[in-house]
Amino acid sequence: MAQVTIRGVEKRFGQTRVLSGVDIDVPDGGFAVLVGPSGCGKSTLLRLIAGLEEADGGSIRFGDRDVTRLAPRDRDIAMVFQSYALYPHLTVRDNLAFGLELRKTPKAEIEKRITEASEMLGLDPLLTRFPRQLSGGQRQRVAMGRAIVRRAQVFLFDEPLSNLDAALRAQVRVDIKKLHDRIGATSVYVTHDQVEAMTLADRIFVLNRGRVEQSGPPLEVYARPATRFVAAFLGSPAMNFIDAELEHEGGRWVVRAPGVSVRPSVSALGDAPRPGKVVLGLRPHDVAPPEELGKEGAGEIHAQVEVLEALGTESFAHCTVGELPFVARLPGASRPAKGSALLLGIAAEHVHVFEADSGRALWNREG
Amino acid sequence: MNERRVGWVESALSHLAIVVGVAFSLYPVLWVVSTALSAGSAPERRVLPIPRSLTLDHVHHFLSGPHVVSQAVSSLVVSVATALVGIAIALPAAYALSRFTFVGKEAGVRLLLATQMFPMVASAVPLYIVLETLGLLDTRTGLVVCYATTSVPFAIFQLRGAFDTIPKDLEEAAMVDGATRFGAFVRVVLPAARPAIAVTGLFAFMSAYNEFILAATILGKEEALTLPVVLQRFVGEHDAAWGAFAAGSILVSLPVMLLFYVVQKNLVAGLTAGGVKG
Ligand SMILES: Nc1ncnc2c1ncn2[C@@H]1O[C@H](COP(=O)(O)OP(=O)(O)O)[C@@H](O)[C@H]1O
Ligand SMILES: [Mg+2]
Repeated sequence: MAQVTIRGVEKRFGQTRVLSGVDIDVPDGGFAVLVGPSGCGKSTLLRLIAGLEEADGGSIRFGDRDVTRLAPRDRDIAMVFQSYALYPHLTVRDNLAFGLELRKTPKAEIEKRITEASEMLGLDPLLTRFPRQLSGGQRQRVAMGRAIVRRAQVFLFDEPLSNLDAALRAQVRVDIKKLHDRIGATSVYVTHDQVEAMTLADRIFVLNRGRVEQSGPPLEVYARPATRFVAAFLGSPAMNFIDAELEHEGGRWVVRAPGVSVRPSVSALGDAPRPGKVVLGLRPHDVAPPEELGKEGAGEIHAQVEVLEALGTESFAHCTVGELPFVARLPGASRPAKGSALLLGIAAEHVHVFEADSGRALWNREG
Repeated sequence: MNERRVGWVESALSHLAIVVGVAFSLYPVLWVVSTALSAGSAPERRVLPIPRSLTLDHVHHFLSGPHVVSQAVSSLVVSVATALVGIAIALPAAYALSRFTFVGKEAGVRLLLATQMFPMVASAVPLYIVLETLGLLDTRTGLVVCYATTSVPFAIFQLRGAFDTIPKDLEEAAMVDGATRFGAFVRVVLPAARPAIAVTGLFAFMSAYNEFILAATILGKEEALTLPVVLQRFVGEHDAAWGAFAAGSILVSLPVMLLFYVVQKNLVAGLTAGGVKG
């Protein structure tokens, strides 16, 4: 096991800059998730860590070893590919044994590790089969097994669940978490799925256009997004954004837009806020009718219900606020009628305010 | 109701087309069989290829040639060597074309294509001179050199196509697992491409096994002749032993038919490549 330290990594493909100045830290035994929209450079970053691509600048260290220029086979990594990349001409057993045999691991040891991994992943009945004889979920487990038997220093995953159907994906997600708790291997996991990112990571790195936009423990990043991009990416349904004005009024700061007036917390505004155009961000899960808020309200949102999606335990009210679309989560019991007015409150700590032009949270302003 | 009738008509028509096609391609073959088994040295002029009387004389005639065994061996050695050498040269070239980008790649591919446009005969004279200079005239090695080099372009195309269908992830997985790139090629890519390699080898084998003009030009020693040249001698200028020629043709075709039968499974898999996906 080892910690992973990445400093100032750069990567270009021809003229296209794919990664610029990326820093990543994963503690020994940590589980880091690189998350971001398709094409933001996640896979490229993972392949740099694996040594399948060469960095144009910066350094990659495992523990105190500088691996930046090492070939993949000298880095001591194991990787689960999005396509699983099982060797089609080998049985499951030989797929598992492949890397160990290449490293001249003694036969008895190989046998022991295969037994152990197949017990962990339930591969026993599959060992004599060929990859083409396996279902998608089984292939995925074999790919995991092939990584586990290696007992590598660093585990890399590139969207390992993206080829599974939704139900299986949720189950394997939990299995991966259990496996990590059991094995404790330093892991770097790439996904574009924010649910995977939130549930698996002890540290997430949100990538946008080849840069780390924000990193930290997932709940912290969720609670305090540093940019509008991060705010929009994490959470489902996505955060509501409203063009608004920040005003100073009777010694207090207020964010106003048609139908909206809320008072953000001091910590959301950063030092020396200035009045002017801002973007207000409110999560559907953070707003509620004032009597159900359970906290002191910090303002009012006047919404007009257009569509109600009732799911039983909760409902999503698709509304308009001013002229803008706005989604609110309501507890299962409340069923406002279509077209009715809905008054919503929000706690001050849940009010996010972003600069209109840069998209940065006010507390995260530059300069 | 209507649909079913259309289906029936369609099926009948397509079967008719198949029957006509099969008859068309089998008719000459049946004549060869008939000629091989009929008495007399010239084919009879009749519509249906049914021999009047059966005889194995022509088979005996062909097999009693003084060097027939060493000539058969010669043919097999030359053809197998051609396939092996051709594949050995084409594999790394095809892999490089499939996986790497380098200066002159597309131009090189086009040049390879261009060489395919000339019939082998066109280069018979220059090849003769080259082999003479190298002292390889009248040797099977010389013939293999000619065959292998001419089989390489097609083999490269075929194998490059096969490699293109093998996901890059497989090699990368092998490299992460501890293999060098060459190790990944040998341990993962080659086995995954086995059907295509078998088919490509078969084509190279057949083109060498059936080739006549270069063989007749380059080889001289009676016992080293390849079978197409031997066959041709039966229908020489003076007397044409059509019966023995036909019997020999059938015997000569047997190894190829056998090979096709053996690689049949690979043939289908090789032509529908992509079945290699993990
Ligand atoms: N080998 C390559 N050559 C050229 N461009 C590439 C290559 N690999 C990736 N890219 C480009 O780099 C960007 C990031 O790709 P990738 O890391 O695969 O994104 P992600 O995994 O986040 O979807 C994309 O715009 C992609 O087109
Ligand atoms: Mg990707």
